[in-house]
Amino acid sequence: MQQNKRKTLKTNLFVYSLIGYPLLLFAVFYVAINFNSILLAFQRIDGTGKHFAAFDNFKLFLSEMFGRGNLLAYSFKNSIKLYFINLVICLPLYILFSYLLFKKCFLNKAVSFLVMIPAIMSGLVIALVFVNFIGNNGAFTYITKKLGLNGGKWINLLYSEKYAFGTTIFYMIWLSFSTSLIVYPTAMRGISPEIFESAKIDGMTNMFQELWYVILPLIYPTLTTFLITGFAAIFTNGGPILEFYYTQAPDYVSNMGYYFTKMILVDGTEFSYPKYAAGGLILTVIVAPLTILLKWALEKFGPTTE
Amino acid sequence: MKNKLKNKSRSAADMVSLVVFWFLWAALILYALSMLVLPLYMLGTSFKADNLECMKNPLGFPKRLNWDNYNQIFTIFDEKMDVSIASMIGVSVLTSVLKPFLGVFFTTLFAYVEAKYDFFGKKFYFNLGIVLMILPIVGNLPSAMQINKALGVYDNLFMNVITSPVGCFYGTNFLLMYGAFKVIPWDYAEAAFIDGAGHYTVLFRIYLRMALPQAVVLFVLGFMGTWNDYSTYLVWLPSTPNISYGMYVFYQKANAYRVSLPQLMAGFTIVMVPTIAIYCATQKIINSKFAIGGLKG
Repeated sequence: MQQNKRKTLKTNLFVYSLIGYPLLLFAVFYVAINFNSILLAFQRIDGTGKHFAAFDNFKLFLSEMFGRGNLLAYSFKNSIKLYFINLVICLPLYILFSYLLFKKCFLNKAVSFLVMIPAIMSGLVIALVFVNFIGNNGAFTYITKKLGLNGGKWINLLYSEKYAFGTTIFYMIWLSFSTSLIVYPTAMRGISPEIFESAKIDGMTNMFQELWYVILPLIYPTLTTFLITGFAAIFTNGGPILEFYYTQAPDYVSNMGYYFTKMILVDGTEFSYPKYAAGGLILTVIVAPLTILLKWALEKFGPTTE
Repeated sequence: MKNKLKNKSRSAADMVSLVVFWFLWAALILYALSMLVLPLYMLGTSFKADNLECMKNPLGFPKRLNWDNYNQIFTIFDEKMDVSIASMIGVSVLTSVLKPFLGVFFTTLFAYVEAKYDFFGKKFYFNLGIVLMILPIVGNLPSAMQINKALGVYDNLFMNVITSPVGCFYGTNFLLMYGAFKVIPWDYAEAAFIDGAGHYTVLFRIYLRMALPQAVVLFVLGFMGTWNDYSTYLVWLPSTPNISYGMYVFYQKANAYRVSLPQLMAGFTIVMVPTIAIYCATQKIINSKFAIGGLKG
């Protein structure tokens, strides 16, 4: 009995000697920060100090978020748009392209290398090169002028209200494939070859059947992980806006991830922090239960591997 | 007759599938080739003589290779910027090695004990990790700023590095390492314990070595991410820029500094050389070891 207790104590000491430091960091830089964020949301900070502000910050944030034509309203709507565009356009393409790589299509090794370029290269550098590429004297403008588009005039793709949001969406989709084209093919390669052989004996003859009846159910855990974490990041994903515009982005391209970073960079004082903390709390309250609901639904109604 | 029809419709579906397969393949090849557009544009521009050549011939090859742009960018950078380029590269190297090392090291330790030991709080941390992965926290930046300033972490490179391994028991890295340890049998440890080995010996001499390929992949990815990171320096370390953030500041002021586009592109190319070299050397292991499973609590 005594010996067992000593053994357990020894094991616990060993374990906590390894994980004590990261736990301490977590307590300070996660728990304390988020707890402080909740307190901050109910404060008013001015030249005289901190005061209790009840729900004033929440009211202010909500009135702007559901207002019309202001930065916050645009940011909120754009974040939701971004998520759904990603879900509808990108996800099916990730799966289909991954399938081709999994099947070792012609030139698959070269493709695997090339699609990783955005992940290898600095996102900042790529974004700045892109800004130059579509700029007044850039290569894209040179082509559009040669083709006589827009009457041979420069199309300001980053600031024109008509094109700016579309340009940022295009850029995000264009460079978003890297991680997915590593993770999904790897998950597909994890499926036992016997399963494919037995499916063929059962009459599976084409790509769609292979994807629908074998691959998707068996990579479903990986798929749900991406769906859930993607949804959870709906209001934190800033995209390339900061790289493209620094703090000068037009309102109509902004999103919530960019909004919070911009506000911290622009506001030198702490006076407006409570409003942003309240906003963060509101968005967390909206998206957290929905994420948990999504996880539950995906597990409950997802395909079985039977 | 019925079988014949069935076979016919099946072969039609197979034909459609085949056409779609090759159509997708063509799209994938085009997409992959499009990844070269910006890097080649950057590289080509970096060798051009001046802005005039860029304007007249933005798409074509440079008339001759102007290596001078690569020399000049170092000189201009050092003349105009408050922090020298050598110091920025030093910060980049230091943080790109230390931050991923600390992060992967502590994540590996956490994953090891979660996968192999029964201890007080084991289930709690694991379930908490799953919850944290799916529980979004939005807009805590103001609070983080307050606390980091209060603790002296803000704008302090040393503190920033040593406080970087915050999320060691959740996230993709943790799941990868947890999976790696989970598949290694415990028999090795039992045999080692019988031979008189302690917990630390078993960890460092047996299991850490076995899970090293996964840890190396995470380190390499972390290195590339940290090297390319500029937002951490923009928000948290404005006084000690790394080369990425330095180049960003430089870019913002390029017109005022009278920097030509080819010189700027030469600077961008220099920033990217280390990550490209490292990726080329490790591509095979990254592609084979990076697998993510589900989020079951």
